[in-house]
Order: sequence, then structure tokens, then C-alpha cells
Amino acid sequence: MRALGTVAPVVRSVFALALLLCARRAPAADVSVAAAADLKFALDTALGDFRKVRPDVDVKVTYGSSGNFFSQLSNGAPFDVFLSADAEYPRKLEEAGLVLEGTRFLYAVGRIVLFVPLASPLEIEKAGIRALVDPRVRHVAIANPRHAPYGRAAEAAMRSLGFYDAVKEKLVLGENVAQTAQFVETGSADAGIIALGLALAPELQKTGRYVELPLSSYPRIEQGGAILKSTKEPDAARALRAFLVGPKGRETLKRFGFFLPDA
Amino acid sequence: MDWQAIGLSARLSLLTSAVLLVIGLPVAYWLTFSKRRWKFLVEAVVALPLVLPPTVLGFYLLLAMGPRSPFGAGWERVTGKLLPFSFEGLLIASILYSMPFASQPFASAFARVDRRLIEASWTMGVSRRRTFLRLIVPLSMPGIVTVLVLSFAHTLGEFGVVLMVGGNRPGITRTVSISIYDDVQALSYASAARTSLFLLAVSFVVLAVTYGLRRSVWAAWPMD
Amino acid sequence: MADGLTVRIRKSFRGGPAFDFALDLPPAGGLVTVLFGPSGAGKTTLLRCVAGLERPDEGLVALGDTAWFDSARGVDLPPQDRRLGFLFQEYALFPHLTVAGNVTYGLARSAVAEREHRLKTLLSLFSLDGLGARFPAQLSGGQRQRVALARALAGQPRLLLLDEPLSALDEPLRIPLREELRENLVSSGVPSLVVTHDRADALALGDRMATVVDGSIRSVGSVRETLGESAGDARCGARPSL
Repeated sequence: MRALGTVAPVVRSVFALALLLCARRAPAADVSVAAAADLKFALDTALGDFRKVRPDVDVKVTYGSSGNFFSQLSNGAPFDVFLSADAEYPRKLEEAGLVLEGTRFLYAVGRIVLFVPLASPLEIEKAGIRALVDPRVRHVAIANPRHAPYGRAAEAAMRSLGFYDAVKEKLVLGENVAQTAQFVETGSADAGIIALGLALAPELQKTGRYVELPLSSYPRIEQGGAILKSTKEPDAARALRAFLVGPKGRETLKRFGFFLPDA
Repeated sequence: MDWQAIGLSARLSLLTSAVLLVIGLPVAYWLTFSKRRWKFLVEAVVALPLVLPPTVLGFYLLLAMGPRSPFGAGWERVTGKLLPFSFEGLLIASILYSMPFASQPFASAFARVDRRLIEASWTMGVSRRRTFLRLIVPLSMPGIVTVLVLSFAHTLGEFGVVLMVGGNRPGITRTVSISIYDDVQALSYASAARTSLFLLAVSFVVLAVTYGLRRSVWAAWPMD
Repeated sequence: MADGLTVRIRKSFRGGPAFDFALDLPPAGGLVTVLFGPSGAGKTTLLRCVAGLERPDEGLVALGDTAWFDSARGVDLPPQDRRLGFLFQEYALFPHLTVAGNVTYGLARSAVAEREHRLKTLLSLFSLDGLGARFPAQLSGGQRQRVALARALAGQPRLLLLDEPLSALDEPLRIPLREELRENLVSSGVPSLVVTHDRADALALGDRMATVVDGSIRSVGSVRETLGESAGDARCGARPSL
């Protein structure tokens, strides 16, 4: 009888412990991502899908200028993954030995578009970039070509299509492509050249219209990324990377205007 | 060295200080001597740029200056030009941003003037306005000059607001702080360092001269 | 309406004392009336209300038939419009102006020649010749008092108000300056109202006196009557021995 008395509580404890152990998942991994501003809508959606596949990985994204991130990462900023709008930055980081071996990758090719507010009288669908010469266009916004890849592409497109000199005086520079879009959206600038990825965002779809600029007029905007060597969660980071270049990730990126690099 | 940006910044700072003198003195006068019950509301509004993040101020200023807003549209009607991304737009933004840095210290300087002197002036038949010009302003001169010099230096370093409303146009809105920022963004650290050092040296000299004068010239000034 | 100064005012301070004054001054030029009483009695408040530097809650302040303040009719002239002179405690001389600048400060609307002439007259009247270019900081206590008085009289006021004119002075200076002040007030030809809490000052300066206690005027009369002392003795006693 006394044996029964001692067994029961022990069994109860063991049972409880077993339940506890089964109920506990694997500990969550925190992955922090530094991503180019133009990726916002695409990446948010893709991460939603990623979370369903890997609920144990908690991804936190900071959006900003690729150039800024490069400076910060060069000085040891604690991000795990870098998704840059310009593949040049991850390459430089790799040269500096800050990238985890073999994890530098191309995740998308960006495109630029001519973007105007919805109510704009400009017929960009017909005239394309020629619309910028219209005297009603007083300010044209592009991202700063000195440090933003989309700005460099915009300037290159204007030059190669022969409109740069005509538009030069009207140029207004945004600190990054998101601010550039803001200038146009608020009507401060009459037109702007921004990333397709941004133009497809629901908010900008409501407030503006766009037309793509010919791919041949600007050098390919290779958007590259990398996993930082200093990451504390290499496996989780690798999983994220794999997802982004995998079928589901690519599909989402394409939907938002980020075309796939050649396989 | 981006001399164009330096010249632009100098011009912007000088004009901002000059306008702050003209607008700031009457505002400060009202703040010091008005007895209206809702004065505290005006004080709060004037001081707002002190606590507001410059980027927030810049964002709303850009909206307020744009062709879709009544103010921006009105400006366009009168001058035929757009306000956003223009030097005038930048000047307006600078003035609004620096207003509390001028009007508050002005008001303090006025408040330090012995009230009995002011009353004496009144009893001699001198109107309030003339009392302000002939008595209060001269006696507050050291404080006023210090404020002007500091406004100048403060505007030289202005960044957040310029970033939001400037549009970074060379010779028009690309101030020296934006130029330095651009250099850093483009990884031209040497160029950024050169311009920064120059700005640092100028600021230091300006401040040293101001405080040096305070000690010798203004020390002899009556009633500080 | 009497031709002199008429004061009938009431004023109360929130949570503080309340004042109710009734005072008449005859229009005699050069007559010095002293407002005498302890600190806090309200003498300075009364003086400032007459000057327009403070506003009574209700009542009347009039000089002759000019109403300076009349709550019934909504009249409240600012000090600028009251043609009076005010001598502040510690004189309130403008430190950034010379003696000449101080004295002519209120004469800006006169022609230059007129201004210069008036300045010369006042400087010699108050024994300030040659001091026109000095700054207040360079003057002695007595000189400052004379400049303040000259300044107050420059605009030919109809009434002169003095707020504790001698309290800023040390004892040794006080007696001779008191005499001097009395002479100047009398010879100015302008009626004056002097506030003081000092008995000796009251005796030396005043022809008539009103005692102010606890916010109201208790008695008015000649100085000797009001202080209950023989004026002759008091005056003699106040004279410095030569």
C-alpha cells in the first residue's frame, strides 16, 4: 500500500515532464536582416510565406539605404543577412572578409520605371521618358546617383536615351529610392524614376501610374545579398537564403517586380 | 572641397540670421510683454521646432510648400515658381526651424531689462514701440548679437530639415552638411573629412570670437 | 471739479491687501505733499495708480478737468498721455545714454534747437553744467538725483511723483541731498507727491502730508499738524550744522 502511495506521485511527475518536453518546440532563432528600401513590400510578403514554412525562425528586417548598411556592416553592425540593391556592396564586404564563405548570392534583377502621380496630365504611356521634357514638368526626382543604384540606373537611362541634358536642371535627388517616390507621391516633384518594386506596392499603385523604361538603356541592376560571417544563426540564415532563391521566394519577388537572375 | 556647397550654406545662414532678427525681435517682444491669457499656446507653438524631430518638421514643411497645399499654390501664383526644392523654400524651412533658437533668447534678454527703466520711459511720454526701439533693444544688444552669431552657426549645421525639403540640388539646396553626408554615403571618406574639418574650424573661430568679444567689449556694456 | 489732483480709487490684490484711497491735492505749484506711512500700507500703489503704471479696480483719477482714469466712463490713459514726471527709487537712469541723453530722452518730438535750449536750461538749473557727456555710472549719488529730477521735469509735467527718492542714499549724503531736493521741488513750480516711510524725510520735504495706513488715507493736513510736532523745531533740527 505504501508502495502505491509513492509510485503515484512519481508517475504523475514523469507524465507531466514528458508532456512538457513534447509540448516544447525547438528554441526560436532570431535572424536580423538589413534590406534595401525598395524591397519592402516584396520582402514583407515573402517573409510571411517563410514564417509558415519555418515558424521557428523569427526574422526582423530593417529597411534602408544599401550604402548606409554597407558602411554600418563594414564597422561591425550586428546583422545576419544583407540584401542590397547593389550587388557591388556584398562583393566589397566579401573582399573585406566579412561574408560567410560561399553565401554571396544574386537574388533579383531590378527594373526602373517612370512614375507620375495619378492625376498627372503627362501621357507617359505614350511618350515614355520624352514626357520629362514637357515644360509642365518642373522637378524630376531620382535617387542620388552617387550612392543609390537605382539613381545610377536612372541617370544612365536618361543619358543613353539622350534626355539627360534637357532634364539636368530639373533634377531633384532623393536620399534613397523611397524618398524619391515620396517626392512624386506628394506632388512636390512632377515625375520621378523609381524602382519597379516600389511602383508595384499597393500604396503607390493607388496614388500613381508608371511606365517601364527600356531595359537596354541602363546597366543591369543586380541585387545581391550575403550572409555575414559574424552571424550567430548561420543555419537559420542559410534557410532564409535558400527560401529566397527557391521557387516560392522567386515567385513572390517576381510578383513585386524583382525579376529572377538567370538560373 | 565643395566650395559651392560652402558658399550656399554661408548664404543660407546669413539670410536666416538676418530674417530671424527682423521677425524674431517683435515675436520675442510680444512673448515678453503680452499679458494675453493664451500666450502660453503661442509659446508652445514657437518652441515646437525645438522638440520636433527635424525630419518630421521637414516632412510636413514639404507638404505645406507643395503645389497641392494652399500656401504652396499661392506662392506659385504670386511668384510663378515652385517652393519645394528651391532656395526660398529652404530659407523658409531654416527660419521656422531656428525660430525658437532666436526668439527665446531674445525674450530672455528683454526680460532682463529693468522694468523700472521701461516705466521711466513711459512716464516721459515715449510710446511702447519707441521704448522698445530706444531702450529695450540697445540694452539687450549683447544678447541679441550672441543670438545672431549662434543662429548663423546653428544653420550652418542644419541637416534633417534640409534632407527632407532640399532635394539636394547643387548650388541651390545642396548645403555643406548634405555634401558631407553624400560623400560618406558614396564612401569618399577623405573628401568628407576635409569638408568636415573646414566646417569645424569655421564654427570654432566664430564661437571663439563671439565669446571673446563678450568678455572685453560686452563686459563694459551697461546693464547686461 | 477741483482744479488740483483728485484721487478716488479702490484696488485689491488677489489673496492680498485691499486699498481704498480718497485724496485731493490743491493745484498750488511747488507745493510738496508727502504720502507717509509704513511699508505695505499702499503708498507706492497709490502713486503708481496716479501715474498709470498700475490700474485701479474702479474709481477716478483726475488732474483739474482732465480725467486720467475713470472706470465709470471707461477712461484709462497710459502714462505717456498724462503729462507727469516720475522719480523712481534709485532713479532708473538709462545706463546706455549720457546725462544729456537721459535728460532729453522725452523731448524727441521737439525741434533740435528747442531741445538743446531746454537741456542747457535744465543743466544749469540743477548745477549739472559740464556733465552733459558723462554716463550715469560716472556720477555721484547727488548728481544722479539731480539728473533724475531734471529728466522728470524736462517735459514740463503738470504733476511730479516721487517714490522714496532718498531711500537709496547712505546717511551722510541723505541730509544735504534732502535739503537740495526740497529746494528743487519748491522752485520747480510743479506740484509734487512724495512717497516716504521715513519720518525725517517727511518733515524735511513736505508742506502737506497724508498718512497712509493699511490701504487707506487716515489724515491729511500740514506736516506739522499731522505729525503732531512743532514744525519749526523739526525743521531747525534737520538743518545740518555748518
